[in-house]
Amino acid sequence: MNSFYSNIGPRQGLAAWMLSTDHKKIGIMYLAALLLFFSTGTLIGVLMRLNLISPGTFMGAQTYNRLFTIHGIIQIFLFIIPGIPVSFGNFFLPILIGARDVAFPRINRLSWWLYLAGAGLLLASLFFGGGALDTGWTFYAPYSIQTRTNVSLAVFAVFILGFSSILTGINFVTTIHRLRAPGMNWHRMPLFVWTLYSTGWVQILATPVIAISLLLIILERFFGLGFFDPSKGGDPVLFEHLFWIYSHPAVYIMLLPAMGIISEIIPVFSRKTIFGYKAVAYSALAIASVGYLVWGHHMFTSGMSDTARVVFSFITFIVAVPSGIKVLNWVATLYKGSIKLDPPMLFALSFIFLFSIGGLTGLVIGALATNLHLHGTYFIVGHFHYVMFGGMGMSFLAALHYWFPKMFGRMYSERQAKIGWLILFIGFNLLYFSMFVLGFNGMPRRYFDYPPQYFTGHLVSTIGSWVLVTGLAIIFRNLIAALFKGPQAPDNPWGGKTLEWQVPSPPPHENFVEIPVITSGPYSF
Amino acid sequence: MKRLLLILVSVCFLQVLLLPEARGHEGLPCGRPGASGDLGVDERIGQRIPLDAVFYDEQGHTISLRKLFNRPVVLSLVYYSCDRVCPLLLSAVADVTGELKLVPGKDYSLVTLSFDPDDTPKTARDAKKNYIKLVGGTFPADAWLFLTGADENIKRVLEAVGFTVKRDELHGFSHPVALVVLSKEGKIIRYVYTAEDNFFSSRKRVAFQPFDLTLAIEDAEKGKTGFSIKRALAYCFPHQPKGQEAFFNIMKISGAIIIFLIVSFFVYLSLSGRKTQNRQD
Repeated sequence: MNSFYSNIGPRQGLAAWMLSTDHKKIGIMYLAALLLFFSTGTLIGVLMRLNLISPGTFMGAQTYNRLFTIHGIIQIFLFIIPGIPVSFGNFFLPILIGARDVAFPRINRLSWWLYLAGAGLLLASLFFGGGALDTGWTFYAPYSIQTRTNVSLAVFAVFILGFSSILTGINFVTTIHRLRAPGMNWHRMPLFVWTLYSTGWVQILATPVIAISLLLIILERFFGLGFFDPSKGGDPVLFEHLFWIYSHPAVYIMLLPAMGIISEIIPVFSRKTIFGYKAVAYSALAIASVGYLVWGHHMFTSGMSDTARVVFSFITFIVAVPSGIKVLNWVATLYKGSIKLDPPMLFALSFIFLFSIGGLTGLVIGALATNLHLHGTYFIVGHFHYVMFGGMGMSFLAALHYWFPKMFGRMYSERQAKIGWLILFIGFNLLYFSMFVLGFNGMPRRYFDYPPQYFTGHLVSTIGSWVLVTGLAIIFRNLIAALFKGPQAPDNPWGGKTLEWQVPSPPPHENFVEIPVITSGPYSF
Repeated sequence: MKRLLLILVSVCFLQVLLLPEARGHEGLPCGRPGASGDLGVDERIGQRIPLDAVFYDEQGHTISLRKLFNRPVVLSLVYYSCDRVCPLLLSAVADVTGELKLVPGKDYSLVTLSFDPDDTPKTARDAKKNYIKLVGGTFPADAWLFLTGADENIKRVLEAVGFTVKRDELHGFSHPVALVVLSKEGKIIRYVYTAEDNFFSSRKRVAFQPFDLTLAIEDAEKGKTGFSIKRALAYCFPHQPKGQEAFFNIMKISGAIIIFLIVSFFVYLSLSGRKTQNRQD
């Protein structure tokens, strides 16, 4: 049987890939693009850290402003938000539910093209008009309306990326409703599918809000309409509300699929069925729905009534409950399991550790009294890097190591992967934990320069960034080497029970010779 | 043909986005809040205000500005029927005078001028009673004057200090919040703005630093002009102006439509059930 890499259409080379509607090819292309942007964003981050050990030596203040903005925009809009659903979701969702492709293969291809178009425009905005923007990734008005940098084009690019996201959401939700194999009822779906389902709804419901807010910015810049500018009767706080009504749920667009991957890996490497399947599945829905109602916690210091602040703070504490349910169920799955510390499991365990730190510090800044002190400091930066990188990033690497043999049919060096993981883990904590200390001591975020008492913290953090990049370099060198020279991977190297391990590595065209009939749950070890 | 049209339209749209944004930058030049906007402070440091302008004091006597300017003056511009930021501004003035080492009535005087021509000496008298009481202690009542006056005189003073205020139907006036410190010759020495960190975090939304004000008054005594210390330029403006009701209605309607579509999509998916896949290789 032919793997999906073999060409069956009339087109050759790049066209065969770009015009393909095969969910696996689209997933691979997304993966390549994501990793490209991730590396770019990471290198920009390293440059920023470099400035912070000796402000002014390597770059000027305005360059620094542009760098942290581009770092944020690339990592958030081009990597983390599309992230797991478009790459691993695209590749594995149909296989995991026993389907031949997604419900709308051509819409899937369209959303890939839109992603490319959005990314292209975003890159163009760095060089045309006023050049790379300096607003921070949040585009806060009224500054985003006044700055001479090319906000309009960048914002328009994000607008297009939003459409790509909505289409992926509609596609996945429909696929999960319509294309499950016979016998695959809702409670026999792998947990990764549950999280993609919740994420799909968040994408459909939340993304239009940011699309509209960004359009308003463009209208305000071109036609001088006063939505957000107080001197024209607008209200800058309105922009913050609109922005965070999307961007907080977007945090869950990033994190839910990451949690889904952890729920796949933990049972396989503990040789044990997941503890509390339904609790884990429904907690994804709970996070997706409650996550809509917490956006105000980004704006505790922006001018809100005390009642609103208390309510938002309370709901923020509530949304931590389903995340806690997941973490506790993963730990309970490990209990008395036959644990194998293969690379995917190491990444998954570090997810639990780092995400817990990220989540708990989230409660520290979700509480009103502490928020007023920590708002706008490095504590926030530390917090969201623990959640985004420690959460989504670690999960992405876990998935990459877990599914690499399936996607490419090659095996990587497990020893190299473990060395890379260890260095990454150490570098990560050096880099971001010092930010908690810096922020607690009052170092504001986004500052180019600082008084001397913060130097040690910044130095440790910057050294951490070098260690972290070394770890990443080892990890990716290992995977790229495996891609070309790795030994043939078996069909089921980890002993997984879900459907993707029942098909050859790499999977054939249309995944299954015959659609399987499902008779039991996904993790029956 | 349709496809060609689509490409043409998108190319035009992109063209617009790549052009230098002529209109986007006109609004507010960075660093000078409100300088050329519809509302704000255009600082006129070093210029003089018209001392021949005539106003009414709280008793209804006419009084020319020249008579008041025999020592440095801290001028605040409000309107007395304001129930939003003006009381906060005047309370902040009352608070900060309590903290100054300088002697009111000797080293400086306070002048509050209403820019609402409908205000009368009676409303000014009420305001004075309140704020003199708020300062407390032995504050000499004649060191803080509350003036009212005719439209053309008000306009001359506003123009001279560079304040733009706008009448709106919802709540009287939209206007900037700042103090103007003048020398006894009527020369504008400096503007004093509210301290930024107070604005959102404390109940006193407006507060002036005694340090800033002392420095300004001392410079006014010497007639030395300087740079204003930019803390935060606060505006008083209606939270939901009339013109934006339409905007919020559009948001409500489009939000309702989106939610309706999404719910129908969910209902359709739930009712239509699974598709049978019978294609086999």
